[in-house]
Amino acid sequence: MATPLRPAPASPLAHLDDEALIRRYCAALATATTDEEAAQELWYQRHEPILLQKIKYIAAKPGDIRPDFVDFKPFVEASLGWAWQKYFGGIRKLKNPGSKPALRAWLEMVAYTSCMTETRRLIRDRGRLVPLDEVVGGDVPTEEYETEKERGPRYTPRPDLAERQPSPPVLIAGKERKFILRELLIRHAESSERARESAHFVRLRHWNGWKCPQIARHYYPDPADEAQNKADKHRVWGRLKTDHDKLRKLLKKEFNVASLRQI
Amino acid sequence: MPLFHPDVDILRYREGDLDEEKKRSVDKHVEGCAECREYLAFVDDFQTGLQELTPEEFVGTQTCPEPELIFDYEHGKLDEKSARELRGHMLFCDTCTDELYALRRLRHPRSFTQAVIRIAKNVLRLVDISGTGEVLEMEPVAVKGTGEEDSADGVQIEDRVADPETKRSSAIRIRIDPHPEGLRARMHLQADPPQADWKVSLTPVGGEELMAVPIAERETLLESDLVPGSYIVNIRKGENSLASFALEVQAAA
Repeated sequence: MATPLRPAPASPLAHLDDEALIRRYCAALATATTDEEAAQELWYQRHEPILLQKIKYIAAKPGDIRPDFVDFKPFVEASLGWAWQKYFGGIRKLKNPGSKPALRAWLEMVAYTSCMTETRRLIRDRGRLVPLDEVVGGDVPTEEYETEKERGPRYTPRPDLAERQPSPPVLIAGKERKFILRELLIRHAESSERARESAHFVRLRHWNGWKCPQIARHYYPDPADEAQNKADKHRVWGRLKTDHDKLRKLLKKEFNVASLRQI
Repeated sequence: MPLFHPDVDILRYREGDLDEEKKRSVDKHVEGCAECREYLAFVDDFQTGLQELTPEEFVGTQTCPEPELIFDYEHGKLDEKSARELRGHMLFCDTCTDELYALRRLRHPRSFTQAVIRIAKNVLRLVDISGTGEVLEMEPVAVKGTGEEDSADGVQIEDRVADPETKRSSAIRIRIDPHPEGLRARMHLQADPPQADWKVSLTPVGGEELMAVPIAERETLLESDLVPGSYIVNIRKGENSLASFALEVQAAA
């Protein structure tokens, strides 16, 4: 038979509601002190369990916010660490702490952004090369790693390259054309969420060289059936079609140019 | 030259994604249609021009915003100026774009559409739409007003919704038509094919569910007297939400 759980010792501030506790904690902060009792009650008794639950939910599926190269447990622990910082860093700015929906929405924001911050840290650190002496402890011979430097540049410019450079007017026109193309895409993306998404499709198609089905699979989760798969692809084609039309109109409107060949 | 332009097929034609028969038909159209040739030339020039940009020229120097900003954007809480800046940034930054989509995947079912619709006397206009739903063109309908004939324009949004368990899917269409009596609307749901074990519900944001019925018919009336406000149309099977449409109906000033 299971032993009944012993009731937790009563907290001295258990009788206060969330709003009173938050106000008490913030009032102490305003006088440059910390109300440890209120902080402990807020974090350990009230909101840490909620945040932990939310973080576990967010981290449950790898590949969404939690990168798939990180295990669940360390990710949750690290995200909870960020949540603690964001919670006490932001509690003063919480508007209307008496409203339960507002408090719930804020806690959700803390949970999501803590996971996002941890993900960013992981991706950043993964991309950073660790010097070998940091790994092995410092006694690493350096000579053989520096020979590359002494060899000089691997690729030298061809002597005839200067002759093949475009003339200055052509160069200026090319730069202007590049500027206009980039600016056109930015202005279109800025105009609405739908336009942003479509401009990103255009970028993936033309600049990254992705095919339409690849864009559909990147943007939309796995389809449940073939009809949904077809609908996803059709959506990408449709967006690309209408957005090239919009880009043409924008080119005329913003730069007074009817065709890119005029630039 | 055929009367109609080939729409999305023109891009599929350009990329060699059409079968022989369709390809021949588009070929024939393009030969006789200067507008389509101009369109194709623009797409070619745009692609060539973008490909000439180096990563440094294209991406430039980008600083990622704090995750809080992306969270607020996803919740529609960001002011317009910051939202524009973020959208411009996300055009180049795949990390921030992936974060936005990861947030969406966690918060909403696979099929999720957000739309803002402005309502004036007898005319509805789609202001913005994002997510998986698409706008469908509608034939203008003549309605009788106060003794005179007005042109009434509605809004139609379609999404393909599937149940991953049974692998069954339906084209779900939300159709909003203007009410003859001014700043109100009628909302219908059309399902092709209907799914009797799915349910549709209509709930004002922050309020009680107005209705919930099985999708047993091709067309279901959701609300005959819709007033401006924010609504969620949810399609579910049992406890599982399959799709959501978040619709903000605004009264024109």
